[in-house]
Amino acid sequence: MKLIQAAVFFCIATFGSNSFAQEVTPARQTADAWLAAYQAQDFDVARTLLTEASTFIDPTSFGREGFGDPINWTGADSIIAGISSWGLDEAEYTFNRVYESPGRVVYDGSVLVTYQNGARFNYPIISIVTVENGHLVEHRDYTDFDGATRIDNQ
Amino acid sequence: MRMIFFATVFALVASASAFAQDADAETRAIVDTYMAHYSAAEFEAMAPYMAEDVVFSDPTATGLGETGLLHHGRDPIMIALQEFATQYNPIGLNFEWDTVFESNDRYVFMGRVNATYPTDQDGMVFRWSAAQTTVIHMRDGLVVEQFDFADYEGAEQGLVPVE
Repeated sequence: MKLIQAAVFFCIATFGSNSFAQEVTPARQTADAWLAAYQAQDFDVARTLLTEASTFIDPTSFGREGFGDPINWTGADSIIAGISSWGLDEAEYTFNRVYESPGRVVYDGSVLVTYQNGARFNYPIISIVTVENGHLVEHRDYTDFDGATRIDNQ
Repeated sequence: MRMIFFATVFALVASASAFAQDADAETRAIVDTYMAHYSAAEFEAMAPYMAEDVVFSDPTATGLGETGLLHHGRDPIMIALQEFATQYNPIGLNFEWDTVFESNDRYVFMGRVNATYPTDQDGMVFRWSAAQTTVIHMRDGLVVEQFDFADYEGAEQGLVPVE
């Protein structure tokens, strides 16, 4: 609910807040490092950013027919096992918008997934990455599975 | 006999599929109406679409602790919205969505908020504009969960002519 926050901005009428958005915060560095490891499917790096309390969740995966187990994992081993099970070579994001609030970065755009069998699909997606003390707290996706487009190999 | 059986099964499957499509369209219409009221800052009109135990969360809201903004229950949410409307008199939130999709009863709206407020300057309004995503989770035709994510720190704001 941005309403109260909008009111705060309205009341204080500060026009200098953009300068904050342009700084690379430690949270942004951690979130970017996590997402880079995820995109490259580099599980060695990914593991260094995970804790036993880290979660990876996609509520849009729950209850989908033929999807298999829902994406809802806790802990480094479970998260890496879950992501590994997809058989991806890489997952390349294209961002429409990236923004952050303290400890949280929102990546809005699409992700081009390349499977190890060569198939490629582009999914509209929003990923919200929450971090704390240099580690992932939560990776939360909302994915347009039905709106995925298959990309023909060239 | 077997043909009658298959015909019956086919009819039942077709009927179930049509029912599901009708239900999906009906739910989508409810979500669109709810979001139209939200965009127009018609907060009281949102209440009938909320489940009693609805959760309203904006974890990106700053200055409110680790959880950001979080309300449990329709009544506390409506009180917060009404207090805001009374105090600041928003003209509208004026969402512009460039990506909208649904999966597993989650309706995802990705785009911008362009909240406007009255000013004492003729022909001008104050506009607060930021990237925003809203996720509406529906159950039994009611909103059970709303997540807002907004770019507060990257917001653009200032006086603009009334459109």
